[in-house]
Amino acid sequence: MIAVFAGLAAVTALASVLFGSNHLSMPAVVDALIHRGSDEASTIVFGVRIPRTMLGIVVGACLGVAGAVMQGHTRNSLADPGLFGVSAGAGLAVVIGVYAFGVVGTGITVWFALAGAIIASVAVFSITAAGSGTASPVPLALAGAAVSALLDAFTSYIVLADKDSLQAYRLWVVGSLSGRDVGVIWSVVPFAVAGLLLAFLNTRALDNLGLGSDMARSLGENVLVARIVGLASITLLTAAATAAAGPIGFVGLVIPHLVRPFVGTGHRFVLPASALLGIALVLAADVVGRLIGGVAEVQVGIVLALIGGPFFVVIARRRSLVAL
Amino acid sequence: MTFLPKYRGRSVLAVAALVTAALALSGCASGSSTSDTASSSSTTWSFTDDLGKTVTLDHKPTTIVGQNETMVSLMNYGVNPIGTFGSFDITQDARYKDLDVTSITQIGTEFGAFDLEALAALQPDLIIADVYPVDEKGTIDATQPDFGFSDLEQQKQIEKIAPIVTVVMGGDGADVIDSIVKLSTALGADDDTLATAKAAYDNASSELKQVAEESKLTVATVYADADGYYVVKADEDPALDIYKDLGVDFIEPTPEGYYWGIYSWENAGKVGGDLILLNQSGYQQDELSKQPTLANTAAIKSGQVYPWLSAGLDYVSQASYMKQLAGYLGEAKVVTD
Repeated sequence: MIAVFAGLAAVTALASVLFGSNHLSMPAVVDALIHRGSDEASTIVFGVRIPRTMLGIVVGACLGVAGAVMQGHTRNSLADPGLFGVSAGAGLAVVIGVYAFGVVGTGITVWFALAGAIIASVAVFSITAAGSGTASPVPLALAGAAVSALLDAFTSYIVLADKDSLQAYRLWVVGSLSGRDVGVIWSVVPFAVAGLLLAFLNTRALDNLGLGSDMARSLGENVLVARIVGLASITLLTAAATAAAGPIGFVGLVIPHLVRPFVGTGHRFVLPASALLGIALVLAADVVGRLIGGVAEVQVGIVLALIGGPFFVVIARRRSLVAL
Repeated sequence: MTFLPKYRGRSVLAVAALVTAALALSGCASGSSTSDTASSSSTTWSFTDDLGKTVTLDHKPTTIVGQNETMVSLMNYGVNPIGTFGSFDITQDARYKDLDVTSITQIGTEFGAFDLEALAALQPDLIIADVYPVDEKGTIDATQPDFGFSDLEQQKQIEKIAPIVTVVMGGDGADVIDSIVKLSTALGADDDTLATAKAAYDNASSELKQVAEESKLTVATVYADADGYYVVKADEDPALDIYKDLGVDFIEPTPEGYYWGIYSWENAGKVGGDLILLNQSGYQQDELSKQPTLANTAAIKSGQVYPWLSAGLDYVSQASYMKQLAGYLGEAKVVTD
């Protein structure tokens, strides 16, 4: 089954290189791939489509895995990686960057977003830890929601008062793979890789925790360590994706649900399958967005919201949901 | 399209129709008095604005609060407000750098921010606002407030404090300039100031015309961000329309849509142009040159990127920007085939 998901990811990656809002013919793209020159087709394929596809791969894999780890830890099938205040924190940091430091350009903004995302989730964990002693799922989600609301309020306060900040926030808040500096990808890759590594280290613990904290403890699991590893993984993955492409919803929510009916609930399959299907979904949505806008484009975040909204309703209503 | 730096457009016909309607309406209302200019022969003052709305007061307004992007033009003619509102801070903006703003109270310096109580405290005689058309036909959306007010409800509150005169910022650039001249004259701008400004404007116009003819350059006026490359349709921007009439050869974007032709980054290389006039918000020159599809275009390689300022639609502001533009055109080279 994993091979099928890998195939899907590969097909969408290929489509992402072949199709775009500049309607190059397929032979022209293939020719550009083989003989890289300085012509228009080569510039578009190597300068725009391949970096954009790489960004889609990083974002899709991060969000898919972050969603699976998140749902595993919270045992809540509606959990989304944005729940830890990561998106809100990154958004506020971007706005502060513009407002207080006059930062413009995606190359620098990405660092603000990363820092904001990480600070926000550390704040959420600290609040939870101070309250209950252990980082248990429900207080964590509540703290995340509260911190997000607070950070969003600050963001609104600044963007309503400062036009430049609003401008920068507007560009950032709609998740998009377009027009990003290539350097952005390299800035976030180390965080993404670290997040993925932690997620895979967390595999066994996730399976045990799925049986409940007490059961996991009796199976010899150090619950606190497992939680910390998982939360660090989610933070790094979501921060990397959000910093690179802006907040992109629904991928983290939807992907684990799409994956479980095919591979079961064992995380050694769920995690890699979520990574691969996350890539496929993000790239497919991006390609659709490029093709429906004429010579302009529709951002991937909007396409995903259009697909994701109805899907969310279906998940919430379906009885045969594969439970965690 | 969501929030964009400027939202302007024109239609000669619609504006002409509006002006005609205004003439007809005021003709009916006031019998023999002249319309579209103030009649201050008696003690009363009346003015019919671009929307056909007639404001009548028992004396010529002396305390004025105005939209800051339009007030710069009136101030250039010597009509000074006691307060301004709008989407920028006049103490920071380049458009106001040669004007004395120390005695002006700002009751709003951000988009959507408007301090109603501060307005009431100023007790103005008159409020000057402006409005942008919503399509290439020049339609003014009556369900939307004037530019800078939050909503119609707020506009009603403002109207209770003082009557509003609205300038339509669309159509032929020359018409907008005329409209602002008429308003300024009605508010007491003196003829000598206007004549001097007009002379400087005519001078700058002929300089720009001459340079444009000699240069043979093509010009793309753009705003850019992560979503893509937005090219202005010169016919739909009053100021660019003036420069176009003087012979500046603007790139006409092909994508459909009002005011902007929007290109994705994959398509941005198709736009062309020897020279880029770049909006002062959004991506700037170094970010444009990082976009692979633009990096190899002639304009970017030659570094021919210059600021596009939304200069006020008055003789003074336009003369100043036209001289700058003539300088850019004179210095740039034809680099496209």
